[in-house]
Amino acid sequence: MQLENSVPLLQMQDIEKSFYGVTVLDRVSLDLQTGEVLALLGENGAGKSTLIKILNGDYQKDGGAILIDGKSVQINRPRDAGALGIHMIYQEQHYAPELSVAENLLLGNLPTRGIMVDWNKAYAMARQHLNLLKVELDPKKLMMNLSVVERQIVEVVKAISGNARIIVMDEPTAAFPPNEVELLFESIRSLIKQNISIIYISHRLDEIFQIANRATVLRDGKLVGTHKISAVTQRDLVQMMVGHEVAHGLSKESMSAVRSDVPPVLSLRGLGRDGYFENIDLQVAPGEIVGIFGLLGAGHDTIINAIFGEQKLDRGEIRINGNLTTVSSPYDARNKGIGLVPADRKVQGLILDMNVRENVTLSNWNPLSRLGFFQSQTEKQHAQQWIDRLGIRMAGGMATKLRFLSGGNQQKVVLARWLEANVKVLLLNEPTWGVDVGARSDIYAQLEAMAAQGLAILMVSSDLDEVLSVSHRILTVYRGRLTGQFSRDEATREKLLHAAAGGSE
Amino acid sequence: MTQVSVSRPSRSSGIKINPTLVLLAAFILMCLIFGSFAPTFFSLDNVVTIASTLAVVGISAVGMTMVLVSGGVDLSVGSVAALTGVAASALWPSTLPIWAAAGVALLSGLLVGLFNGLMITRLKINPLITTLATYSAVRGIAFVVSGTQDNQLGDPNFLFLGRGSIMGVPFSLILMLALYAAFFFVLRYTRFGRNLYAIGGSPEAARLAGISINRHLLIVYALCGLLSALAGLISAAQLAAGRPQAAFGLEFAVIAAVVLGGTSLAGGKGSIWGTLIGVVMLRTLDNGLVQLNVSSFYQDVARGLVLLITVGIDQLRLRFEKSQQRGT
Amino acid sequence: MTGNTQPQSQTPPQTAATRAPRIGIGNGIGLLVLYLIMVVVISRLSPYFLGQRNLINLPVSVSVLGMIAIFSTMLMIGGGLDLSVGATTALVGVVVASAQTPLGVWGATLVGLLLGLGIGLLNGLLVTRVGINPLITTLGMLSTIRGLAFVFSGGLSIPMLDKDFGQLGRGNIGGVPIIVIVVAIMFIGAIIVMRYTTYGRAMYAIGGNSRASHLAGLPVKRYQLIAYMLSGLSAAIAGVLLTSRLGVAAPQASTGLELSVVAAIILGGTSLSGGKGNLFGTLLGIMILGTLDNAMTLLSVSAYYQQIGLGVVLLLAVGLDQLRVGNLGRFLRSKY
Repeated sequence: MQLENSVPLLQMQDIEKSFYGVTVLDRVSLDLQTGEVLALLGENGAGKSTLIKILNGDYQKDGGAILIDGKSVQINRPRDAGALGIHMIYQEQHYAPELSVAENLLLGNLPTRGIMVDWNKAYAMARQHLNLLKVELDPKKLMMNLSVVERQIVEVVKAISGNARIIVMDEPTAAFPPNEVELLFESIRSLIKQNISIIYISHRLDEIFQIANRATVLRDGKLVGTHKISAVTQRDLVQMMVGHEVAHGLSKESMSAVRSDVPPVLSLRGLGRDGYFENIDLQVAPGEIVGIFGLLGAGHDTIINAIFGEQKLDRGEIRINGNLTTVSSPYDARNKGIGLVPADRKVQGLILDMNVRENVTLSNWNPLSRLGFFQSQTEKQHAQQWIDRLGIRMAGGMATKLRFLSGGNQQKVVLARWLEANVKVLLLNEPTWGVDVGARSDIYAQLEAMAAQGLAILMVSSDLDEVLSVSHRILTVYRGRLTGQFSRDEATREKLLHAAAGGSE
Repeated sequence: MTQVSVSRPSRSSGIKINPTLVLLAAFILMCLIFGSFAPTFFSLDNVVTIASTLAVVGISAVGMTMVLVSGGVDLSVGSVAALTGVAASALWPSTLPIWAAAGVALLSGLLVGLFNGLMITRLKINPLITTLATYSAVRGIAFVVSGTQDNQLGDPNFLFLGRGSIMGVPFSLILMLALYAAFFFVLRYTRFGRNLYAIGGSPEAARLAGISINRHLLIVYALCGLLSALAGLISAAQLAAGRPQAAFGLEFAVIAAVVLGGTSLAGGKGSIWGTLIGVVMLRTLDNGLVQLNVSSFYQDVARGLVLLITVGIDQLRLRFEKSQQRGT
Repeated sequence: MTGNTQPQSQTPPQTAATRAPRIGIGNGIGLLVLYLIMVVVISRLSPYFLGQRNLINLPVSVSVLGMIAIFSTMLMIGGGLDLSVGATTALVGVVVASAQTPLGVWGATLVGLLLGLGIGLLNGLLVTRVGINPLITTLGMLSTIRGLAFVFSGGLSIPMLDKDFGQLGRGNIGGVPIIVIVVAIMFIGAIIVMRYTTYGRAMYAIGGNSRASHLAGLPVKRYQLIAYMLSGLSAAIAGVLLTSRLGVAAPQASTGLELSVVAAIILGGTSLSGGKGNLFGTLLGIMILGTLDNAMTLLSVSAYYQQIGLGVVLLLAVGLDQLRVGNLGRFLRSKY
């Protein structure tokens, strides 16, 4: 790290911004030293992305100043930011799928000889760029054939090849398997050695502690403070973000709610799908939350998709309340009392242009309608009930379109839909992916409450803290096989990681 | 370890089928069927006949391929083709010499293309709506300009464009193949061409890379208009007249050929060679049906069915591959 | 330059309440204003326009377009598209006319309606089961069906013999043409369905996000299949009524109708990508196209100018709406 008293590479001073009279940023400041990783933290709606978009020229600030190397600069559009060496990496990946790695790296700047693209030079340049991060990737490979992680690394390479001095990463690991997060971190460390600075946005606090030097925390559009990571704990940061203490973890009462005397709601025997998973045996009792922990590619998400009828099953038995059954489609699953909260809520979970009421009742039309006509009062009451119980917050009541809700509230809507549908088994795929800390604890609390009422919950997650804090029982998956089973008391991070990485006990 | 493997590419490798090869195989099969029922099908005369009918659809399809790759669509190509023939015949011989008249006609096509492009990039009107509007308006203009009748275009030099041949090869075909070679080069080896794939594949990625999407799209629609105008001139030369109802339904034939050739309606994907195969296949189908003395009424039926079957098979194949790899 | 291409979806968070309000009817106020201006201008130019005769003629002339557009709107809100409607109208007419002697005219009508339903079913199966893009599917069907219409009729128009059958398209009840009553009932019924029933909700959900609808446990393919079948059925009903009104079935009838249908619907603000739109907008779209057509006929403008007019109005209407959103400034500032 550089000396503290040198002029910071980037200073954003007293930035102000409001939309339609609503203040989104209220005199927020941050500074970034050369060669450091600065974590930018805050709940959704705290103003992180607005701040970043101002830095990138997507939005114009209403007040304040941006200084680079101590000199004031004007950033009116993304191109200006690019010229100043500021580069964004978004969590949603934007790439041309039918073009090669090299072409995506050099997009808009392919080397030419005369009017022709100089392919030899292009591939050579691409290799050179990839070498900067010591990435072994064939530049001729099409982007569509890469894994999520490989694509993200191409994005990072693209940033440094564009002579970036400041790289902003917005939830870069959101779609990553945990074991490959380290790959990105290696890249980041090598960037720092090259005196490139990073602003790192993530909801995963453990990542912040692994990679960041300092953290700037925002809440409700205001600066809460900037701290050295070595001087704070995770709990401190959470408290700064939320403004009060957040309790995690199951209560004692919830533990005792698990009924071991009645037959399991969901029981799987010898479930298998060629190439994905094999010999899956497990039971979920009423009131029980079972967590399945695995690294991405371990096949754990495929298992719940198969239970939900979304992917085919080659062999094995599924029993609901002891009755042998087959699930042929999500429609079938819903009718049999199984619900699934998918990982990617915007693509798989929500109708963004429909309102909260319509999204909440989407899977439960029969009780709410007569002869195909909605009973609008009944429907409103049902929706309102879930809005209250889950604390779904929105600006314009239940007629607000989902598009305008924050990630956490959107996720609550998906959850509410299945609770409204009164399912017996709830499957969850990465339930708090990209969800801020406050909403996360709301969701956990609701899961716990529903379990206490007898719902059987099977949750798949690659977030260790999540699995550890809400599951009664934890199973680990490695390469499509169950490799371990832990009760809540015996599970530790080390044991879980060991088992999920294929290690034997 | 177990036999369970999670590396996905290895599973799909065994059943990878090249879609272009499927198309080629279907084409050969079709030719064999026609050949066995109609003895004249493989005659040199007939092959030349087929070759001489390729250019109108083929040249317009070059423009359409670029438009579809960039993520748009152009329904006005048939109307543009009609307008150019009419415009040339209205100006010749009274007002302008033939090549000047043809030049003005090409310009009119270019202008329609530019207009489409401006509406789409500047007013952000959906390409389908924009070109639906120009489809209707330009056809109307063609009728008005022509006085609703055929106007002679008898200049022998001009007729060569549609009817002439060099060493037995139709001139229009030579022109078409030259254009295919040129635009193959453009799409494959120039920055402009590669940028189109980026724009069609991910407009956001293109924007972030600093590619001027508007300028590219404007050029693409202008080129499509220009190429369709050229197709219209060739059609007029074949008819020896400017006919307001010429090239009716050309847009459907062209889109069908391009999509048949593997270009995606969703943008970002496609190739000029695929389009060439698609064009040849559909024109050969038309010819084969004539050879078999199938009533012209059935030709529409057959054209529709071939489109559905080819695209349907391709779709089923994709699904099969997908289901082998992973569930959706 | 880059600033101009920014996606419009970059809306700041939590501003639903503060966004510019949208007008409830269809595409917005631009469209309604355009229509009112049209009416005023045309009534100045032609004294017959607001005459009683014309006020009855106008709805009759748009009724075939209208009934198809109603069901196509529902289909498009659900993310589908049907370009085969014009050809289906013609084929059904031809089949009814050819079958009137052996089956009797009402038997033939029934066959015609079933045929429409069957075509819709086939479209639906090709789209949902085989997975072909709707545009390509119905384009292929358009060509196939139009060809079959020519094959069945031998390329000739077939006269209808039954007098009662003619009453369907030409008769009236209390001075209101039967055909207009049929369209009005369909329209009101469709509005109720789209607004108050699970089917309507399903269309909006599937068009909005078909994957999420599927994962929410909706039988997406079944709903889509029904939408295509209804679209086919509406084209068949239109074919029967058209044949009845004209007293003759022609294989080339309703050529290009599909484009007018799509134009009217898009004019009315229904999104091509599905999930958005409403039937009042479609009604306005139909009225604009129909009135334009009607006015040009009254003013003895040649049919070819009508085509030009259609194109201009289409661009004007959609363009106006875009300008309202605030692109005018951008348009004027933009340069190459």
